[in-house]
Amino acid sequence: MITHNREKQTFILENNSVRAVLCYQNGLRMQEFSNLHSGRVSNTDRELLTFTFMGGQYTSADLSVCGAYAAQDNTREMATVLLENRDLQLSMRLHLISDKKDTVTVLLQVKDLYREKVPYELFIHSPFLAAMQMTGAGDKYYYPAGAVQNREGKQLLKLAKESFMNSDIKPPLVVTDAEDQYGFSVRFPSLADLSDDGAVQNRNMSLSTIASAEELHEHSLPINPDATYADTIELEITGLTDGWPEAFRRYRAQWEAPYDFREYDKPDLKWFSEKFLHNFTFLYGTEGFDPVKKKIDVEKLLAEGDEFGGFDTVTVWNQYPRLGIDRRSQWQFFDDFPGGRPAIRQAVEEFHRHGVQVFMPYIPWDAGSHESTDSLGDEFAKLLADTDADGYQLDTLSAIPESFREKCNAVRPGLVMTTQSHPTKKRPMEIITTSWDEFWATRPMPQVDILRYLLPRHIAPVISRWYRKEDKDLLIQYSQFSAVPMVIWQDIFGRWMPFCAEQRQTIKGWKAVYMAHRLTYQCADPIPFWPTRADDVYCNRFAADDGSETIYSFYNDTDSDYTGPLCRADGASCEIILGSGEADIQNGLLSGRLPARTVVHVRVQ
Amino acid sequence: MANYLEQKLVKVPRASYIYRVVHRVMEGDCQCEHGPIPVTVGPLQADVYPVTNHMYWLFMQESGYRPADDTNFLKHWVDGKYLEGDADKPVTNIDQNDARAYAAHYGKRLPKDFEWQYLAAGPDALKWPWGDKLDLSKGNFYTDALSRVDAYPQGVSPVGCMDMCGNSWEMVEDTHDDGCHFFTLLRGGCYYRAHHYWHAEGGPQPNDAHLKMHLLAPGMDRNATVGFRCVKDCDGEEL
Repeated sequence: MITHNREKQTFILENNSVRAVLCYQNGLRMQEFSNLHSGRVSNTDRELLTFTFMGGQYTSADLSVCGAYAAQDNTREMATVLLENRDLQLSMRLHLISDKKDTVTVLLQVKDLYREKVPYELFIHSPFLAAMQMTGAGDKYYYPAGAVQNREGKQLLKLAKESFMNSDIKPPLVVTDAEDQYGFSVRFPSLADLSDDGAVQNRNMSLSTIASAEELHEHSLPINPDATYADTIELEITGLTDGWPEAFRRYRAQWEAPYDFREYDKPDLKWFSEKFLHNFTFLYGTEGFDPVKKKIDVEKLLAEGDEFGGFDTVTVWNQYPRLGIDRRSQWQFFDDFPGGRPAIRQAVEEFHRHGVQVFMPYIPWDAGSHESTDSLGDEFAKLLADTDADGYQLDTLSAIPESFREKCNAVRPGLVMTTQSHPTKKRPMEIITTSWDEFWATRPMPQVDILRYLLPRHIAPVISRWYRKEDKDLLIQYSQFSAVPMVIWQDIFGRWMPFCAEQRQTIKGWKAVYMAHRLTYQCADPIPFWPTRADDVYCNRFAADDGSETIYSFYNDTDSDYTGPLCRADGASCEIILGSGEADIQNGLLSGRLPARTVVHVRVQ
Repeated sequence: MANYLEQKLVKVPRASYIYRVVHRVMEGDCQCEHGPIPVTVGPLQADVYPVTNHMYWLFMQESGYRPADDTNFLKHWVDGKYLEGDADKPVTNIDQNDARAYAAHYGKRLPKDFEWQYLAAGPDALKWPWGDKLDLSKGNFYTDALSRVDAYPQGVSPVGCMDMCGNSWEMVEDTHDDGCHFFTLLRGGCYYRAHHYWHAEGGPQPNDAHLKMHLLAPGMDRNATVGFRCVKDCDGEEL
């Protein structure tokens, strides 16, 4: 429903979840922005925007209203206010758009006619956004770039690493009441591919970098208007009834909506999801190579794996850092490997007899100027045909040409691509179905990788590269807390950095638990940081798609045992399946005892 | 009959210096002594030139040497001999054992890493064989092919060794076994520089740098850019 009161110069938009009241009598003031489910009136009498331009500071009252109208179609209702400041040669359009369901979008568009014939800096701040709240007392905030922080203020929800390319993963700002029930999710839609802040007007990607209350309160966005009305700032605000879990689920649905996940649905590629322990072996070491017989030592490597519970895949690495001493390419390295490609094939076949799949390395930076995308793709596919290996570890490659995938498909079904870091853009994410979870730091526990929860079908094992004993302990906990498989990499390009006997035993036990509940851990609806009833106790929730069980993964981030209520949970019985402690469930509340600084998995049925 | 370059020896009296190696560290740094430690070199006699294709061919004629695994062995030769224009270029596509066999045949050995550094840097610990400043006119750097080993006399080292920088990498005697890897060290750099930052870095290398080369099997260990020179132990009187 939309109401335009011309006398009071007010718009009222109301849908199933949100009520927004905007007054344009003297500038732009949000008189109310409420979550109707909560029964509360929230966010009253807020200035919508202020700005700094050509040395002056202004509020929306410094703009003259030169028009206001309401409009609607089958799916939307819209209130629009036109504003201008002729001295500044600046115009703005403010739209409130209701989806007639549960969301109201605040969209600001800015036009700058370049009063001095050149573009000047323009910074915008929204007091309405800065003061967004649910109840005003005890509200919980999940910031876009720092949704969950520990008591030292360290971020625990890890986002994709960004460079010049903008990541597609931009979680919303979420504010809820103290019970994590009613609240708002504020999404900042952006299709800007580059993080270059001069290239586009749309500055929502900057809002997505807000990681703290201070950054929210003091945000000042450098926008880049020109002589057209382009989207500048967009706040897509949804009313919540189930707090953070609902906000996360909504965001996941929005994020994945444009994706084509057919590659993930291919039956022949699903074998990777059935694996837990991935080995990476450096063939210049004796871990997986017999220097006397000059051959890959399958039996020895797999015997090593047995101490961890059994390697499910191996990556045989024979190139970097050896490449470059002479002109031999990565493809020639396979020819010059003792026995050549037939010997590698023999080893692959031996691994296969043990049920172990094999990845070959691909080094994207080795491609020489004499090689084309086409010739590289031919070599790429031919190696898998020659060796019967099961896929590629793509090293630093974050995207592969479509033709590589197509040429591999022609070799045989079942060839899996995995890469060193998560792909962050849409198409690479669609065709590279697995990657390593490598963020180069284990601290602090309990961090989680957002991609593991956004796209749970993209299985991304965690890896240890230069980790020493203490970090390896944390890595195992990290693997347990988010229920992610592991890469066991002990020979780091010539430096031997093994796991100790106790760690091997722990991984062995964890693998058994994971495999027994694999489908639950790989469920379609995992929720990171499920709300808990205790400070410093964190939880991830994995609910089996068939409803048979739910596993709550807890981490007590204190130096002493915690005993008391844990979180809300549906079920009649519970048991601890990983770690130690006690658990009980009554009236939808899970309680128990969690030892200090350990991961405990509680299964609820 | 063509005149081919003949090997010469220079005398290196006993000398002590502080051995220290510094070099670019990528992943997988080399687990061996880099100093600074005091070391003593010599007395010995050192080859003036890296061993050439012709010298190696002569050795094979004299000794009948053939490696048990000949993968990539002298793969740039045709029908058992080098191409005529390559006679006085450094022999390559040989591995450490091929080099050792040559040295042993002539009562010599490969220099150890700390010895090689002294042969290149001399008593004043020069950064480059010819001095302390990089001078791209002193050797075969960043080109397309190996050159004759006597092509750059202006690059001679203080003890009188030629062609110690660029042209071809030189293997040393050291084979390291850290318990789970075998590797040797390469010295001096080579003419070739691979195109990417992540590749092993070619081009001229300073006297106090070495490059770790993992050993796997002869086919991998023989490189088209890696050769060697020899030294001969002696007592002081021979000098």
